This record gives sequence, structure tokens and C-alpha cells, in this order.
Amino acid sequence: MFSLPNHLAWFVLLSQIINIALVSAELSIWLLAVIVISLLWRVLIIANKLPKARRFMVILLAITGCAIIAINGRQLGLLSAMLHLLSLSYALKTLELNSRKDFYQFIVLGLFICAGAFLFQQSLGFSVMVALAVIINFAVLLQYFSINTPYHINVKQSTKMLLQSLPLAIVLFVVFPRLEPFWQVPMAKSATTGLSDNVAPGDIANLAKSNELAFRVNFIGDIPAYPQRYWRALVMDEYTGKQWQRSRDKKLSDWLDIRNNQSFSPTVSGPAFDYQVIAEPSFKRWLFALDVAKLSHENRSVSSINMRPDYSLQNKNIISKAISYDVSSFYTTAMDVNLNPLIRHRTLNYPKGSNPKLEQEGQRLKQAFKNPQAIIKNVLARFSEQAYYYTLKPPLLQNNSLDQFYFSTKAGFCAHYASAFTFLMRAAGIPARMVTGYMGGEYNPDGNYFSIYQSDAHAWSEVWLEGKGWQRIDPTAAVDPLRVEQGFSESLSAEQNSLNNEYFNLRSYKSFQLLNTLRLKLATIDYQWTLWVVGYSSKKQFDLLSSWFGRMTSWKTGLIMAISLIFVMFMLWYLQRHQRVKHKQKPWLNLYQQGLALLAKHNLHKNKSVAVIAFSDHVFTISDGVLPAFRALSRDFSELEYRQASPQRQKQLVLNMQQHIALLKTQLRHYKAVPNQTDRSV
Amino acid sequence: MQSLVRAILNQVNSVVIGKPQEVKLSIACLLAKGHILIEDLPGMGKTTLAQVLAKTLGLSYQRSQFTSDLLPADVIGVSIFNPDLKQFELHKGAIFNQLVLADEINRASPKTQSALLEAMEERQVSIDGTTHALPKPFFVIATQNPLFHSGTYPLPESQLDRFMMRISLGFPNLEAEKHILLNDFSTTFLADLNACISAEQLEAMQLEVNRVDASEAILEYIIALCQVSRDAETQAKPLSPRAGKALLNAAKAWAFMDQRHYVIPEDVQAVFEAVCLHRMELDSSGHYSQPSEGEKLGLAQVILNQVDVLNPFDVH
Repeated sequence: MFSLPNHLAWFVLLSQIINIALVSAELSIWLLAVIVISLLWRVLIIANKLPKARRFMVILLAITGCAIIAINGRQLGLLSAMLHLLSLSYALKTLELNSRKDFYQFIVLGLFICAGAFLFQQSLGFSVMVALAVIINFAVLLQYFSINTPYHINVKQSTKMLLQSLPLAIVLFVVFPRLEPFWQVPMAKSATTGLSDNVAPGDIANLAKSNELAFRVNFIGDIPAYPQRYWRALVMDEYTGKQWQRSRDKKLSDWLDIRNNQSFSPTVSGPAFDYQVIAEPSFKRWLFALDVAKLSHENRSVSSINMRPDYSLQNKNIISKAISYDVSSFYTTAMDVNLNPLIRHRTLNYPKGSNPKLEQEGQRLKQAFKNPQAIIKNVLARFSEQAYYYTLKPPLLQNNSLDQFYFSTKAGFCAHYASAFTFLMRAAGIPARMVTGYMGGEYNPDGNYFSIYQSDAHAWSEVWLEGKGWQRIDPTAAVDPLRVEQGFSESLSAEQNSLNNEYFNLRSYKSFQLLNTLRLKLATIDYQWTLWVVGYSSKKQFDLLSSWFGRMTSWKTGLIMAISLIFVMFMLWYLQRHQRVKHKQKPWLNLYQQGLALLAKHNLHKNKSVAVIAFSDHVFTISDGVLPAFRALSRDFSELEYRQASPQRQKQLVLNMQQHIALLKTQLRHYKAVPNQTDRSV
Repeated sequence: MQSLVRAILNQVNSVVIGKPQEVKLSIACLLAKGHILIEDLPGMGKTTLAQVLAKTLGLSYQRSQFTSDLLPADVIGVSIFNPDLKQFELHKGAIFNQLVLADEINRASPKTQSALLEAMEERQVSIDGTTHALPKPFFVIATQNPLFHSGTYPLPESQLDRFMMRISLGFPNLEAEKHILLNDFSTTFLADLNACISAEQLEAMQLEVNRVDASEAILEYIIALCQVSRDAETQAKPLSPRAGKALLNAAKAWAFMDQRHYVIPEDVQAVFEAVCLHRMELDSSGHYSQPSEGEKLGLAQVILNQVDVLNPFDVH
């Protein structure tokens, strides 16, 4: 009977907890509960408080778990559902470690979990954690085979093996063809923070709490000043009375545009900023750029990125891993000098009666001032002169009422000001729309790039002016000029920190010089990791190989890949060559095992420690001599295995054995197994 | 040569009644050039077995009773000054015989024991700086009493290791005991026994035993058995490579006696307990815990059970 020694069982359990922890963020609460239950059960079994799990109970748990996954499948999404299934089977497998095969399966499942964890996170820190988990998993396997070796030796051995495999992995990573078109990760619906495709006043504050990275930018040449760094992500032209969103018919048309690969391509001129953006996986489709962006088309990786007619960038697929693209932004180019009547209609529209006081105010302004510029000036002046103030903790608005905000509470942040302003402009007859994105970014002098965090999320407004096109108006600037010039002020930072519920966050300690330096260094390492490892695409591979071997032609590519494959094969062969000789299955052993398998079907089992001839004598006795073929088979096997016979003799004996096997099959037909099994096995 | 083996077996079995397995083991041990330790209660036929073996194999033989006052010189010999010739004369001890029966070896002092055991290993003795080769073939059959340990000096592991096999005769079965009660095996009867083979024939047989084939598979099986004993969980003293070698040689002799020119695992299994148990057993003194699985089944059997015959290194 297979059983793990107690100390190994605890080690196995530890490895399991580590593996599950890697993916725990992606698992539903109920599945975690099932996993905790089965792990606790396992603990009780190891501690000898409970007998081994009954088969039907495990099956019951498995069926229940599968049913719940099936029911929630749609909501989870394909990838997540698969991960749930994997984790469930992994947790239940601990209750079913009844043979060595089970143990192997268990280890393999654990490694799958480790690999699966990469689908959701690829940062350097996380990769290191996964590597540690892999080391532990292999240490468990080693421990199984050297039960008396101290743990630390096996962990060391496992680490050594992982490090030894590293060069091979690097070679494969760098030169092995990246078969992206053949295989794509199904979309992961992950609980990431970030902008959403609709915004209500009050939404952005949640983002201000998050220190998660949104994207990074590497400027080539001139760097725009802070107040110029408005990263456009989404343009929302429909107000429902509660929130801003992209209007529905537009969504459809955009979708069609992208499907037909017709990117909106405005004519641009004037000076430009050139930069590269590396966007973190957001599991959304929109991307970020300064106005007016033009994708650099030398770059093949951007073929999946399109520009929408509202000047925002969008990827064809959901961004599930880091993506990089090169952009030039022509900051003096005007947007839409001639406004499409359909867009004009849309950007003037608002649900009547949703905010009656603001509507009135709009009408009043329209009559009081002749030109739109004056109206805008007047409203911005009101924001700066009256008692409006910028806060991340505004009083709650009933029903998202902009009236209440504009006329009574007068406290809010970018989303409030931009919402109220845009609404007011529409009421005053000026085409206006809401833009969300990010503002500013933090410069990292080590890596010479900007990091833009989720907390840099911002919302502003665009109005269309005759002859000038769309103009960015940031009403927040009127309220708290510092916010848009330098980012969060001290008081706001404090406010932000109090909102923050992460216990340890280096970014909150900006003022400590040492910590800040450390944080920036870590960020640089992570940047390089994202740039070179996570973002290592077929395009980058192509560039790298070109820089090594000159212009890449297809035959050259093929040659390099063939050589690398041969190299890997050679390495594997070289490392395996000793074992191969040792474990070469002898043909006679195979034949003898066939014979044993035939007998086992008739309840005649050979105990592993019983020798060949002894077993054949035993079989001969209890079968009353009706199976002489087995005796002959055993005799020939014994001679082949234990006598150094000449090759001719060996050949002859193997032939004999084959005949004996055939004979044994016919003889077994006449043999009636006695049901009493205990007598049958030796 | 096989007929000779059968003749030896028949003759020994006719005197040592009802113990064919033990008799075969002891002869196998001698064919493999090993020394035998017979451990049993008094009156079980230890001495008889030793005497019959000596007679049957046609070896010069001397018995010496080990006591606590026995000196090394009594065993190996001593140079005594002869006043007539005015020179030292060597008086050879009991050890200058082809077969030495050391009765109750554990009663002698450690000094005497080690003198004997050194001679066993080296097959030569040094007296007063002169080295004397011992006769060939040379065997020691030692007996010891497992009970009544007062006044004894138990053999240390290093010296137990010198004996290729330890054999216990055990009580005879009913038929054998009846036979023993009825017949008289007096010394005169033993003296009447004829040698079945000559010393030269014995040496030829030993050479033949050495030529028995041991395949890779058998070597691996033997090593696997040793490795299991080295595993802490079996609660055994680990088997040394010397033990493995003894096991192989004994198995070869066993195969030879079964008229086979190659060793099969059955041979190894047959001699395993006799060859290895005394090297593995932990000292049981002060050991009052519950009998472990090993003690119930027999440590040797436990170890045999753990090794897969077809795939020795696949331990679990």
C-alpha cells in the first residue's frame, strides 16, 4: 500500500499551499473555501485524526465543485473557469494519493498551477515567486526519492537544477520561434483596477487609491512639461443622466472599423514628441497617447492598434499582457476643424430634465455671452473664484446630481468638475465631451522613463470651437491649479494615503529619500523586465536576431532556429546519455512482464520481492501444472536475465519466450481462476 | 564434480539429522571460502556438524574449547626455548589445522578472540616476528551460545563481519528427534566416517564456485539489498560492501550446488539471512519497546520484501 511518510506529507502540503497561494487572487471565494476544506481534511488525515478519504466522498466533492464551476462558467470566463477546474482537481488530488501514479499527477498538477499563474501576472517579483514555488515543487519530488535526505539539501539540489536549466531556457526563449498566431490565451477577466468605459462623478477617486502601474513611457528627444502630459484614453460622448459613456451606435461602428482594419488617420503637421509606450495588461482594449497621436508605422507591433475617430487609440484584442508601441504626438495639430454633423448632434445632446438647474444656467450663459470662449471663461472663473475646492473625499451626491455639486456642495475632484463642465457646455449649446485618461506621470531618472500609475487617472473635458476644433479644457485646473501642474499636492497626497488601504507601499513614502531611491531602482528593474522579457514579441526577436546576424532573411531565420533546435536536442541527449543506457528496457523483461500481466488477469499476482523461478514453481503448484508455458517462460527469462549468454543464444531465447507467451494465452483459456485471492498471490 | 557435492551432502545429512537447509548452507559457506559461526543452544549438534564437516571434507581438524583463561598463545602457538638444542622451537597452536573448531568463542577474552579472528582474515600468523602461513584450505567454524551471557565477551561487529555466515540449527522436527534418540552418534562413529573428497578436490571446487557467472542484474539486486539495509527506516546496521561481496560469493556457491553456472535471485535469497542477519542486527540489550514489523517478520525477510527482483533500484 502506498503511503507517504508523515514528514514528507507535511512537505507536500506546504508545496500545495504555496502553489494555491500563487493563484489565490484569481479564485472565487467559494472555491477557496472548498480548497481550504480539503486541505484541512488532509491535515487531519496526516495527523491521524481521520481515516483516508472515502472514494465516494471525493467524487461527491469533485462533482459538486465541477457543477458550481459550470454554473458560474459564463461569469468567470473561459480562462478563469479552467483555472478553477485545475485548482479544484489539485486540491482534491491530495485526498487521493493512493499510488505513486497519483503522486506524480499531483506534482504535475502543481507545476501546471505555477505555470497558470503566469496568465494573470508577469511582473518580475511575481516571476521570482513562481520560480521559488517551482523549486519547492521539485524539492518535494526529490524528497520522495531520497526520503532520508534533509530538506535543505533537496531544496538546494532543486535550486541547482533550476539554475542549470536556466541557460537552456534562455536559449530557447531568445531564439525559439514565437508561435503567436497559433496559440492565444483566451481572455482573462481579471479583477484589475483601471479606467472603465463609463464614468460617473465619484469614480476616479477609487483609482486614486491604487498604486498599480498603468503604463510607462520612454520619450525620445523632447519631453513635454507636466501640464502638457494629458494621456488620452477614452472619449465619452453620451451622458445618461447618471454617467458618461461611449454612445452605443458609435461602439458598433468603431468595432466595424477595427474589424475592417480601417484606422482613422488624421493629417498631422508641426512639431511632435516621439515616445514609446509600454502598457501594462489592463484586460481592456484602450491605449494611451498624447494629442494628436500618430502611430509610427515602421513598427510592426502596432498593426493591431487602431485610432478611433475620437483620436483615442484602441487595440484589436484585449490587452492581457504588456504591449509596447511607438507614437509621435503632434501637439499643435488641431482636431476636427470641421465637425461631422452626426458628432455635433451627439456632443450637444443630453437627457432633458436630469439636472434642471444646470440646464437653466446653460441657457442663461448662452444668452448672456455671445461667443463660446466667453462662456468657458466665465464658468472657469466661477470655479476658481467661488468656494469650489478639490478633494478626494467629497460629500456624497444624491443620484449623481450635477446640480447638487455645482450649486451646493462645491467639493469634488476631476470627474465632478469635468462632468459638470461638459454638461453645462452642452446646455449652453457648445459641443462638448468628456475625456478620461491619465495626467502627468513620474519620472524615473535611472531608467529615463515615466511611470504612470492608476492614481494618475484624470478626467477632463473637450469643447469644439469654430475654427479651432476640439480644445482641451480642464476645469480641475481652475479649481486647483497645482493638481494639474505638479500632481497631487501635499495635502492631497495625505488624503490619498488615508484612502489607501495597502499597508506597505513604497510610493506613499515619497518624502523619504532613501526609500524613494530604492523604489525607483526596483521600478527600473521591473521596467527592463517588462520591456525585454514580458514584452519579448516575435518582432523583438526578429530585431534582436537581425542585430546579431545582420539582415534576417527567411533562410537565415530557419537556419538559426534549426541550429538552436539541434543544440537543444544535443544538450538533452548529452545529459540523458548515461541514463538511457541504464534504463534501456530489455526485450525479455518486456516479454516476462507481458506474461505476468496475463497471469494477473487470472488473479495470479507476483509480489515484487519473489524471484522468477520461485514464482513459476508456485504458479505450477497452484495451477496443477496446467500452465507449463509460464514455467518455460520463466526459465528462459531467468537465463536471459542472469546468465551472460551469447547473442545468438539470446536471440533464440527471446524467440522462445514469444512462443511461450502465445502458448500461455491459450493455456490460460483452460485455466479457471480460483476466486480466493489470498492464496493466489505470493 | 556434482556427484561429489551430492556425496558430501548425503554423508553430512546422515549424521546431522533433519537439517538439510543448514547443512547445505554450511557447505556452501566452505565452498565460498568463508568461515562459519554456529549459534545455538548446547546440545543442538553444533559440534557434531563441525566434526562431520571436517571428516567429510578430509581436512585436518582440531577442536579447542574457548574459556576465559585461554591465551592467544594457546590458539596460535608459542616459541619455547629448547635447552638441549639451545634454540627456540615453535609449538604450533590449534590454528595450524585446515579446519579449526572454536567452541564457545564468546567465552574467551577479547585478546584471544582477536588473535583468532586476525588469523582468520590474514590466513597467516606471526609468532616472535616470524610469519607462518596457515594450511590451505583454512576454515574456522566457531560456535557460540546465545543464552547465558554471564562471563562472556560478545563478539564486536567488526569481528562478526569476519564470519561469512551465521547458522542456527534450531530444534529438530519430530521424526528427526526420534532418530536422534534411537541412534548413538558417539565419537567412534564419527571417527569411522570417510572423507568424501580430498583437499585438492575441495580447492578445485572452490575455484569452480568462483567462476560462476553473476550478471549485472544480480549485482544490482545485491547492491539494492545492501542499500535498503542502509536506509534508516529498516532499523538495521548498514551492510558494508564486504557484506555484499560475501553475499555474492555465498550465492555463487549456492548456485554451484544447484548445478547452475549463473546466479539467480533465488540463490541470493536463500543465503541472505545466513550471510547478512548477523551483520545487520541491532544490539537488543535494553530494547523493550514493542516489537517492530521487522522483529515479527524477521529483519532479513523485511529487507528482501522491499526489493523488486525485476527492477532492484525501484525501491517503493
